[in-house]
Amino acid sequence: MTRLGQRTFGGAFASVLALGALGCGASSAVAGSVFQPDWQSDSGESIARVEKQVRNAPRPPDVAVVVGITSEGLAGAELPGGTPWRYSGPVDTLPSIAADGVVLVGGGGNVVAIDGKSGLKLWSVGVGTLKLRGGADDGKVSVLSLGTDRQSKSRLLVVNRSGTVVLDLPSSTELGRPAARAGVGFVPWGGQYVSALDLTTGNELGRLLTRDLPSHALDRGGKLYFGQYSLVRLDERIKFAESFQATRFTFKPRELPGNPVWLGNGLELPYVDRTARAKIRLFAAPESTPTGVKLASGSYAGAYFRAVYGFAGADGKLLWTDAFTADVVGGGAAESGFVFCDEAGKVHLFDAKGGGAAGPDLGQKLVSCTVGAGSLHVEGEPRGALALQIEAAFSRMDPDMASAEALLIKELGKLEDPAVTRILIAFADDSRIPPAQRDAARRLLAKRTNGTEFMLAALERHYDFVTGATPPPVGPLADALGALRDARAAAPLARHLNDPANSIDDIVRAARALEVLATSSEARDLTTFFALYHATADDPALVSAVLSVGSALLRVGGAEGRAAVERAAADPLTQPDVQRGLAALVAPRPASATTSGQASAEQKATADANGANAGAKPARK
Amino acid sequence: MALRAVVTVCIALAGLSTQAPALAEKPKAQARPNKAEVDRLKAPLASGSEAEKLAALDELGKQTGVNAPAAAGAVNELLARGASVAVLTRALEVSGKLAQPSSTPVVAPYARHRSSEVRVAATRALATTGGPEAVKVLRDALHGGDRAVRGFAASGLATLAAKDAVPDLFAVLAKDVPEAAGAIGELCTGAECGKFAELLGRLPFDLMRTGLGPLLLRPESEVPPEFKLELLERLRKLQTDEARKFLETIQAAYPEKGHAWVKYGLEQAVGNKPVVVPASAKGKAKGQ
Repeated sequence: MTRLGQRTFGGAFASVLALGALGCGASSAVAGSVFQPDWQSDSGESIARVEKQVRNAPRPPDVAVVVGITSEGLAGAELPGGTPWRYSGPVDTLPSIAADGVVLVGGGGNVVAIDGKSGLKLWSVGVGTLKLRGGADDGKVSVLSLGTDRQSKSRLLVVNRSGTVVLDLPSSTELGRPAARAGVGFVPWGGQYVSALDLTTGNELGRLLTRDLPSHALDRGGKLYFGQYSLVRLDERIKFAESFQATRFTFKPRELPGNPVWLGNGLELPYVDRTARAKIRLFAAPESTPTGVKLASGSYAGAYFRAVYGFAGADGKLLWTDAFTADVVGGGAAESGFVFCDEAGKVHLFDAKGGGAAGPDLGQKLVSCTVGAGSLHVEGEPRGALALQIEAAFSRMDPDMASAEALLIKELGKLEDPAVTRILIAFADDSRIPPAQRDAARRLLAKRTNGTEFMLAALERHYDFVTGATPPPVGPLADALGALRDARAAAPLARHLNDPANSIDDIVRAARALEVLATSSEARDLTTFFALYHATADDPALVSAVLSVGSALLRVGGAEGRAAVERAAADPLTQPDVQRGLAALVAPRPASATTSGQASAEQKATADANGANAGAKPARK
Repeated sequence: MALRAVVTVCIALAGLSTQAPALAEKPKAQARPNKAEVDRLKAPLASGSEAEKLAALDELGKQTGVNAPAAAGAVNELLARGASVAVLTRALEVSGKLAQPSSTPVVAPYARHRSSEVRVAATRALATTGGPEAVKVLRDALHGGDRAVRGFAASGLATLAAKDAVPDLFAVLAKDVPEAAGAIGELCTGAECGKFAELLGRLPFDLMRTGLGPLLLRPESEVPPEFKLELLERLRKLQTDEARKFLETIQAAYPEKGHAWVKYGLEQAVGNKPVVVPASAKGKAKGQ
């Protein structure tokens, strides 16, 4: 292990000069001092030169790796199906995984490099009180961005494969997460610069000025990107970054439960987060195309405790979802697909369409996890229709995941699949689902236009104390079937009218649907309801239901039905609001109303205005 | 039957919870029908104020014997039309008093009224109006969401001697419907009684004794003495104060001229001595 020397910037600069004199760098420095802001913009000339220098430079093959933080250190594996390995040692901050699979982990005053494929330790260097903010590797040397809790204290180390610090650059300004390519390190800093450093000499070969708040340098699929909220790509257009004409990638996800952020501030130390925040995550990555940069997989993914979901980049539409048996503690976007690890140590792979594939089981409980999967192309097995995925995910969620449930129910309502109707019916009275989400399911159910067979089947169910059966969501089903004019619903709805286990809201809506759906076959149930409640309606909603049933009776009850309504209209014991409404219903029809339907609708409207729907509380209970 | 009623009262006085249904008043001898009186009361029922309706119902409730069917008919008409909660509740009580099967069809829907007061009144009334429809409604009421209604339904099924309802009563027995135990004790036959006895020790004794009392006091023609002896021995083996007090209560209530074996069994059990089933009876009890 090599101890970090207490070299000053002056010393480093002297080394740079010496190495420069030996001809190690073909380019000259762009500034007298590295990481100093008093620099005159060169209009992108220097970074363009660097880009040209590294454009076709050889690079080591990419290796996809997952690394979890355990109580004893790390557990990792190559993806998609490598043999798990373990490392014992202190871990202060989240490990960095370089594109070539080198894992850099800091803890206990050291930074250790591990081969992500095998778990073999490559080297270790002492860093004192500094913490690892981020690291990169170009196949020959590793670049470490180190810092302290005070952001302005930063240090950049370059370590070769034998563990020798070949470059040590202190900085009085905060340094971000670096990248490395062919002997050149790319270090974001100062909120607007990315310095390209010769990793042998420390010479600043070029400097990028970008307004995209660069705190991260990403190495994905052989391309380098700089930014935080937006990214600029290092390509032949990088020269124009200052004027926003470089190849840019902007990623704006939809609002997600818990408001996870994408890359976060790369200038902050990535301490291992053991709070719930670490389980609310957003994963996305850029992917280069011949014409620009797009979202890898065309989608992004989120995690909310046990729930994971993928969304289309174009419109934020839900593409797939799942829920695990343990909370998600990390993950990442693959070249195609996504990787998640849960706190039980299982790694879950999803392809771009949400198809599932088995990942390695790290075999240990994880506190957190990091994924480097820029080269991984996940091929998964289809997991069924999205509606069924949502249903399955719900079965594994706890009540404290209400935000994710709310999102998924909303998305469920957007699907045309008839199975959605069945699922919404189940959700509407699932006691494991929070009340707000059950209400949401009821609202969506009321608007369904397909899956009527599920609706009718549900209406056959009634509350049963013995079996524990709960009433179906009668109101929403009545709304939906009423809107569809499905006469098959009339009989079961009429039976529900007289079931006291149904809520008053359900009764009102069933009665309203029966105004249009009822036939003479339902006259008996309607008459019973009318007799039971025309004088006992103690609630404005029940008054409204009685008037709806009165209206239906007038339409389908024949002479007996009309007589019952007229008698109730004259009965002094009839609830006053009901009585006023019934009087309007039985009043002679306007001459202009030529059809019974017209007359009924108009009379009911008048009745409602006169009765309960006038908004007054019933005068008598 | 009268003896059993007395015993039930005794058990209740001894702290044993029973929910006896409202029994119909025994019709007093009445020579002539008074149709005019009933007809006079129909008018306020049809169009009177709430107070007038209530008064008319009270008058109708006094009609007994040959006048009861006509009085019930008048109340039925009111129930079919509907009325306020106060009037309905009174009307249902009167229907129960008049105990006419013709009332069952109009009383039945009120057992599912949204007002608990009305539901309870209807359920109690059905226990006396009776008939197959009443049994069906009471059986359905065991499945309803109203605890009070379930209790009255269980008691009502016992009153109506609805032996077919015993499986329904078993279904609610362990679900906080203590009245079901009493009803099972009144109604069970053969293996059903054995199934009930098997619950001794598994369900709370407070719950069980409401059914065990009637079971032990039913005529031996319904519940064989061999079975009673085995049950008494099981009760004795519980060796609890409450079981001992219960046995004493049953011994006090058991008829002087009752079955000798049962009397022997009660004596043994109360004296905490083994109740031995006579050899000639062994095997018969198993069939229970």
